[in-house]
Amino acid sequence: MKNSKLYPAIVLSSICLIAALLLSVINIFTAPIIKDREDKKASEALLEVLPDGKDFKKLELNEKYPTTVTEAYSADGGYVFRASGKGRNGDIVIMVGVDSEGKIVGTQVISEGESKGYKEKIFDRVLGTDGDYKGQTYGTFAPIIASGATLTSNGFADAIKAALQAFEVASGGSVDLRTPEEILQENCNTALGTENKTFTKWFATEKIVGIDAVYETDGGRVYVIGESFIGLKSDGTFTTADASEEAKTSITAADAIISASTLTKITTLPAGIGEEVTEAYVTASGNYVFLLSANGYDVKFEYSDGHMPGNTPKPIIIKLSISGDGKIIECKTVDQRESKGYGDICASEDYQNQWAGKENGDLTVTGGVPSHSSNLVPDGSTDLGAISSATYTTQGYQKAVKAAFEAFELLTASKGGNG
Amino acid sequence: MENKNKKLSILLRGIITENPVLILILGTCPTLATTKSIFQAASMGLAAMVVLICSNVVISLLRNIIPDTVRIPCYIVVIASFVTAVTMLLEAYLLPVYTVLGDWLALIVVNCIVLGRAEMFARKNKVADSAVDGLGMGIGFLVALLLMALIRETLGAGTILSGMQDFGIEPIKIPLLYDYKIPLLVEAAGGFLVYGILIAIMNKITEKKGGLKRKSFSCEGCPSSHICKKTSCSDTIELAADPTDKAEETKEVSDNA
Repeated sequence: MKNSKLYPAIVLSSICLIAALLLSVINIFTAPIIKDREDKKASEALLEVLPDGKDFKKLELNEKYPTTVTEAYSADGGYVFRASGKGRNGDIVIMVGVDSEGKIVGTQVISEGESKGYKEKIFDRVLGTDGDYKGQTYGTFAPIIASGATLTSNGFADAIKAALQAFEVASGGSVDLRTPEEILQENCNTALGTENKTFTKWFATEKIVGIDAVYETDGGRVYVIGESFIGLKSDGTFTTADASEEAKTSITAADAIISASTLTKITTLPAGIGEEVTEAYVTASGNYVFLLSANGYDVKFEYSDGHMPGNTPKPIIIKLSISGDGKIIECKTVDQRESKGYGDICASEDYQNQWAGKENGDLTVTGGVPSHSSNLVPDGSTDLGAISSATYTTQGYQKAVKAAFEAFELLTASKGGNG
Repeated sequence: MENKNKKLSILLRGIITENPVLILILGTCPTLATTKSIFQAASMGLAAMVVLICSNVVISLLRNIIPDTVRIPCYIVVIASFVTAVTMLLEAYLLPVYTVLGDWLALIVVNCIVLGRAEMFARKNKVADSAVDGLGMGIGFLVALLLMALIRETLGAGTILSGMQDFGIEPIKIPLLYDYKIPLLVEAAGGFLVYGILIAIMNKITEKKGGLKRKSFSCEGCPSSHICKKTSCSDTIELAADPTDKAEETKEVSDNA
């Protein structure tokens, strides 16, 4: 037997088998003890955010829950959710206790990689059972943003929102988990009677009355009036049956303006136009469209965030339309690489929307020489185009828009007046 | 009586003349890593001792069954099984010890002392002798770790008995030593320093007790020379089964001469 070629394999296999059996026996005795201890430890963690909770039971998560909620527990007294949000340096994972009425009871951080300076500004305010989120519900949710720690605050707020959404689902309700962009695209497709078409927002080169926004795709446009999405095909057919006659009249007029609008590039720009103006166009109705290049933080400061040595600095590209009476029709941030949580606010809807209707006299470029250690834009500043703690971006953007206004004045003067 | 003396000799060899850490220079990694506190060192020493004794016994029991071609895999399976069993039992019943050892508990599987004794002793000796050898080597390992930890914790951290809060024992700050502690000693560099000094002291002690004067690159400098029939490491002659075999053989040769 010992001389057999199979003998070594048999011996080794037998030893492995016996070892496995003996370890299984030991496991029978030790596994329950270890599991009890882990359950107790998990319960203690849950009690930190829901002190009145009893008999915690883990819930099965399904597709109705937000994807950023990874664990859910029900208890007498409420629920506890483990949720995450994207902070400055990766995911912030938190536990949130919600009582049976849907109000936040407590929050605790499980893991995060935020820098000390940023997390100190927000975590002290929101953690524990006396944090600023206490008492908020899904319906009353308001994100808490600490000045100078926007990304960390937003990450935490996203996690809180996900936990509140999870409560709605866990307590038998439902929530719309679609992103605002997904909701917009779906509404546009529904309005126009299409499926899976991508709609892009029409950049306003003309003033149109009674319309809040226009979205285009091949085959038609969708007009937004208040909360209504009304579809109009290219052949002039309305696809939304319940649109009012008043709305249809406004839309028909707007559609005619949009369809007739043309852009002619101004090939020779008059002398004196600022270097920020890279291209200029004029419409048939006498409005102007400018393509601007603003020197923000990424260009003006050598060691900008995300700017690797050897890379070319990236200016902020802005598209701006000014009507014949000198007022901004629309301002759009086309591209930027400003600091996350600071200057990149210039790409937000709110920041861009603030420019509509403004004229040259409304804009004052923030004075002073910016530096990395001083903030020339105070918190809560209401100056047009101001971004707190983002002086370089603020000044760069304001200067670019100012240059557009000056270019408009030069161009209209060279034409002999407005329009 | 002779049997008792033999067993005592095996036991004491593992503690003094063939101390695995200070003479054979085995198990260096856990020695440096788990001697920042006395509690941690004691935990590692005791865990390794249990594994040593159990694995030596089982391997000795199976020494006539395990073929040469698969002996190392078989030894590893046996050793790993005991380490896993110790891990599970510690996690269930002695959580503070399990916590303080952390990843080092699983690494006992690849501790040179355990596999080294299985290969050098257990596979060639009876069960009782192997058990005593495991005990002796285990005690030697434990004593070496405690010595290292005593120096590193008291001089490096200025405390004693740290890490035992779960047992209700608070660390004791040693007056004067706590105020003038040498933090380097609890770092890796300090560990090497203390280790080197202890090896030097141990060499001096064993020389005085009639131990072989260390010479480099020769059999005379090898602490296992008394059980080895080779005249140099390149020889293929097998190791002696019993430490006294060589002495008896030498006596036999001289008698017949």
